[in-house]
Amino acid sequence: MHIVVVGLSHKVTPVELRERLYFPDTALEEPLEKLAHYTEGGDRVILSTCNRVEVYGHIQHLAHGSTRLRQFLSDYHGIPLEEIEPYLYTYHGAAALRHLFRVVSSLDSLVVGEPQITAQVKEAFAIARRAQATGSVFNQVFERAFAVAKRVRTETRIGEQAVSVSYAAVALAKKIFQDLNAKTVLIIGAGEMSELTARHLISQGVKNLLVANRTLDRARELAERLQGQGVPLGELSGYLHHADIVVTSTGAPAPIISKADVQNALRLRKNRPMFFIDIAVPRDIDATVNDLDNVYLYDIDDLQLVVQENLRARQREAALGEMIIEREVEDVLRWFDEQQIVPAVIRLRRKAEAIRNQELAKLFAKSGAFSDAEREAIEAMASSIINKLLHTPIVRLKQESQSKAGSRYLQALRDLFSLDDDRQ
Amino acid sequence: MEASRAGVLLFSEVYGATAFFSWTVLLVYLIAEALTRIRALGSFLVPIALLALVLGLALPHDAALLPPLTSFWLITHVVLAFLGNAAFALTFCGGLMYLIQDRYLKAKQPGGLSAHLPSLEMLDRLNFWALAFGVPLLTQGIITGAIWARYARGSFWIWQRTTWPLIVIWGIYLGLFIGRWYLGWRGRRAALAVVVGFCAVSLGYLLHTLG
Repeated sequence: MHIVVVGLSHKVTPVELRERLYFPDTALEEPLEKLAHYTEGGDRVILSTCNRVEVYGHIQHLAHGSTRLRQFLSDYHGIPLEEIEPYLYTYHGAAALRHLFRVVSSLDSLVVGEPQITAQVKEAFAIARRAQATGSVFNQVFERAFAVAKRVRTETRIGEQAVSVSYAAVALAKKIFQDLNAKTVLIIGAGEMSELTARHLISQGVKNLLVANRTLDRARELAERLQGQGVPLGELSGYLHHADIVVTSTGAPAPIISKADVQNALRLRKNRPMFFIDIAVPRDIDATVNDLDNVYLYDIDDLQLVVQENLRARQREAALGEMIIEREVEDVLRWFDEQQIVPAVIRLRRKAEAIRNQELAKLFAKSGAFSDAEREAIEAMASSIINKLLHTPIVRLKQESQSKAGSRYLQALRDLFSLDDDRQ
Repeated sequence: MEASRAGVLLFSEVYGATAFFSWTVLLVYLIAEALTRIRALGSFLVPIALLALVLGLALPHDAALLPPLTSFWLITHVVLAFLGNAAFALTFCGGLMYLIQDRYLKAKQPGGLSAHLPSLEMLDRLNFWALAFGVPLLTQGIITGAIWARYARGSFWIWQRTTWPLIVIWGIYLGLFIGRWYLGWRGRRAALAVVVGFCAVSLGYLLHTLG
């Protein structure tokens, strides 16, 4: 199985070089066509995302396989090979398989567990397939890769915790409030971050939105975009108690919400919990507010700590993913070996049959004085000899196909019987 | 009914009583988990059931300690009271989980146990419903107990060591329920109150049963 992959990724390669080697996915047919010359028509797939460029090929003669793929990258983009060589990685066989599985399962991504890469590889594969650049080998291998990615995603928790500040804020909100659709969110200040958080909250079910700003017009403007209601900041104490979740990001130099404000709001809402997300610097909410019962205040540092902790958790889950992938790779390799055995056995039998027929023909041509019964007996004996002779080797070959010895046996069989030479 | 009563409920020792309580707690746990889908409930309620069993083994095994369970009223009294107390055990667990979750959120530490616990609001609701079921069950339990006492002992109520803890228990939980429903007691303090309340109540229960 001669799978080769050559590529470069964000891990080592700066974006200035990556962008020069980029293949837009609207125009992959042409490079795939050119790539055919380098892979002698073997299966090939080109994967090009903002973080990596990889070329996968199924090449019969391994010695030059990776060199040719590297050459393709250099030739196609007109960049001298010495320039890209230091950044390229190459994998053959089992290592290539492992690399593919890791990439598709997002274990090689900048943010482990990110959901986009699987779809990107699926797209790259679909394009290659439509362009008839893939055959049975890659069709099997890539489909398997997608199944493995699904397994990794469902059996580990790599995709679970939030790894961005706004997602982390929403996840926390769900730890405090069960369903968000009956809750009210108050946005103070109309910055990009608070809008993003508001949008996430809305996507999780929030329907009641209040937007406050120093200028009522700006508040109304953002409120309209989010389908909420604009309110004047000056009258904060009049509606603060209505809000379950408060997101602030004003440019105010000093806190605009004090401990007393929150105490008052709590009293008015009969102690129903409140969640404050203060992403402003300098902070908008007095830090001592967190001391109050039933109030949870998170500033930008707190949220980033949460994100970091989640990233660490993802790394731990990634280790589980690696184990799953390892087992899948072994499985695929075994399958490949088994695939090789069948044609070899068939050729062996055919060769034996041919010899049998030749010798029988010679015998009957020379001395034709055999009765029908004698002919039959001779033919039967010839068959019997062949079958008995071949039986044990074939059975052993099938048995050993699961082990390392198996591929050596197969190779030996091919060599000893010259099976690859005359393709009958 | 007679046979099941004889088989399941007939116990005359304290050990039997605590074992039965253990069983009721598990029953309540199964129902609660089915309805609320809070998987963490098991890790809190099952230890209580276990504790009840162990306690039963530790206490004196005098056979004649409890009145024989042959009267319909007595049996009903025991079943209702136990179900009520199991519901309170549920609030205890809910309260405990609430306090833990609250601790994590306040300390700004997202991981660990917090990931497995449900949201604060869900726990709050759980406590509310458990109280809402527990208080009427306990009330009926006390009433049926009084009716039995009328038949077995001659009067509905005698103020003695085994009976006044019941009033205290009932008072505590009624207070918690009213506070939650009408006065809006919720959140951390309420959770603390149910946790402490259940401990006091368990003591009261022991007093009532053992005298």
